Amino acid sequence: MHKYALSRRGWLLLLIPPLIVLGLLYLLPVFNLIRISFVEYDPQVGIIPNYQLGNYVELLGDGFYFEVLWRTIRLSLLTTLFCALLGYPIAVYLIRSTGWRQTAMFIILLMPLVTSVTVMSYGWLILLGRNGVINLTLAGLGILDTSRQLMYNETAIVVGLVHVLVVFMVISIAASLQSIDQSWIRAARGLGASPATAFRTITFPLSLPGLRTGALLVFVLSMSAYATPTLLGGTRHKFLSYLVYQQAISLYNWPSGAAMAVVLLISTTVLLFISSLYAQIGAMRANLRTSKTGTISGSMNAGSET
Amino acid sequence: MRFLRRNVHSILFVAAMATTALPASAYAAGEVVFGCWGGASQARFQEKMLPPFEKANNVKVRYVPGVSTYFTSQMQAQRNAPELDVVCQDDGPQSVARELGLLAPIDETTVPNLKNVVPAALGVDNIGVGYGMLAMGIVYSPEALEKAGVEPPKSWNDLADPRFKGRIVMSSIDATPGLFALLMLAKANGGDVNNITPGFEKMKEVSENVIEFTKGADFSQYFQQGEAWVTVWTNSEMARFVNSTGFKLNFVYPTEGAPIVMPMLNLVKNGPNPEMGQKLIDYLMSDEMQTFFARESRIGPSNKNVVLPADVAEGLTYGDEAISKLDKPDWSVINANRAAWTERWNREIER
Repeated sequence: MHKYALSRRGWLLLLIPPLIVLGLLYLLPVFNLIRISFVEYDPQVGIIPNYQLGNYVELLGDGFYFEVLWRTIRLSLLTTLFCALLGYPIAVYLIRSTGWRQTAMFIILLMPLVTSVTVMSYGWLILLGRNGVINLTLAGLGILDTSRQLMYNETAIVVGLVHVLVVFMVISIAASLQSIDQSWIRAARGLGASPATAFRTITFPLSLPGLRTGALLVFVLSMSAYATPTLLGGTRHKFLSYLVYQQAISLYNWPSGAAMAVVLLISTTVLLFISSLYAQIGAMRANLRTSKTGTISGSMNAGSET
Repeated sequence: MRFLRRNVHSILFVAAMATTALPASAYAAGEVVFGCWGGASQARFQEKMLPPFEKANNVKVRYVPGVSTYFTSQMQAQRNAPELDVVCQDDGPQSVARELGLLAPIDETTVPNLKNVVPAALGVDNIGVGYGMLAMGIVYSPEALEKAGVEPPKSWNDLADPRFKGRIVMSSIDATPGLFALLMLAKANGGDVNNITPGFEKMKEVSENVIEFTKGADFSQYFQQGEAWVTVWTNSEMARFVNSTGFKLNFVYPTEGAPIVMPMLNLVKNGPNPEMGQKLIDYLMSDEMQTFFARESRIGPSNKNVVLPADVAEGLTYGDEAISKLDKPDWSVINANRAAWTERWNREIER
């Protein structure tokens, strides 16, 4: 008992430094951000410490602003979807490969995270530009007769974001694939399930938590992405982060920028909340189904498909 | 803001404690804090321009790299206890800092070289001094135009000509080239700084030709990749790019006029070492340093005593006549309208 109490206190002690760091580096700035989003700004005077709702009223009554917010959400969802479709097979390959293959795969996946934004934008221009590799190849093959601008559109934003963020999806899926007990799959196979059925009924459902974590990470990161959308989509296809930057840095209007950032934070949180609610409902319904029909139908299904 | 300010005090307190604990500075006159451009400019200042000043005055120059708008936010955050003595800012952002009361005036008693400065470079209310003269105009790649069999641009309105379709790169309104293009298009079509609508109307046509409105004002990669033929840029930035890459570009003074861009040296109000700050400004305005700026940074000198050989003067804004021909934009009107223009630009031009 005594020992238990001590270790509990030990844990609490261990928790204090990260709590302080989080509190100082995360909560305080967020609190300050929310506070600033309510004060007034005048270009001639600067910030006026007068709390009001003006910044939000201005934003929420503005169609242009909603257009940008909607683009941010829409392209972030698309990015998440493509990361999942692309990341899942890569994750499967990653945990099945060993030695240098696995290392090489990791290096390829991590490369975009360690490359400077300037170098990357130049790289994309070389690939997608009017005189870029893709255009020259297509022209050389006679598919295109005139070069076409492949950058500065929404597709380019999604391509760029998937390139940078797919690694988060791969690592979370790989982690949950790795923790699946292989004997279950062997048991299923022994009972006559095909590899496809074993995957569909055992591996895939058990890897869902990893897929969900990956999706959350990718979604949150693309909602707040700034450099990639600006470089690849250009200023004509703005993300909300661009407007925040413009207000805060170019126009010195911190309150307006802060209000936009808060709206971005809230919409991201709400979408995360909806997705976790959906996942919980799904899990509850699955539980109900298994308790009603038992496991026999599952194995019969498996049998019928072999 | 208040939170930041409070923190600045505690940071200063810690810094003060730290300095008292250290042995006395090797420099009798202490240090002077100089906020100016980063990158290649910083290297030029620290390696070549500042060491003789440090030696002559027995002072250490602490260099803080940044851009104009960054220094404005810094000075605003440190309003009660400024850490900077002198800051470099382009005339546009400088006027914002000046109107916010962050800068102090200078005069000939403490900055004697001011008497050699061309009138156009003297700051409003004696605040700040322009250390160089740049012209904003149209830049094109002669090779690309020749290959396409297209005439070079001559005027601001030429930017809207279909012969440049998909071949112009231009900065967004956040950076000076985009802002000035808008102003000059207004002027070229019967408007001006107080009547910007003609500018927006023409800019809508120009935007049909624009590949991309960039966030910053670095167009090197667009030219090197053969993506762009034409842009709006200053003669100095173009000359530096040509110097470092050997890529051929030409500068055009458009028929409707070219606005002036002036990087300025400014004394920070209530800075820690105003005496040395003024000496530093005076030193950078001297004949020697102004010649050095022209030679190495490709910036037209604002000190009228400077005599440049023809090969150095080539392509620079140099001499009374060249300077008097340039448009001087009214920054107080621009600053008052900038937020509204940005909103309008977001909706009408970049959409």
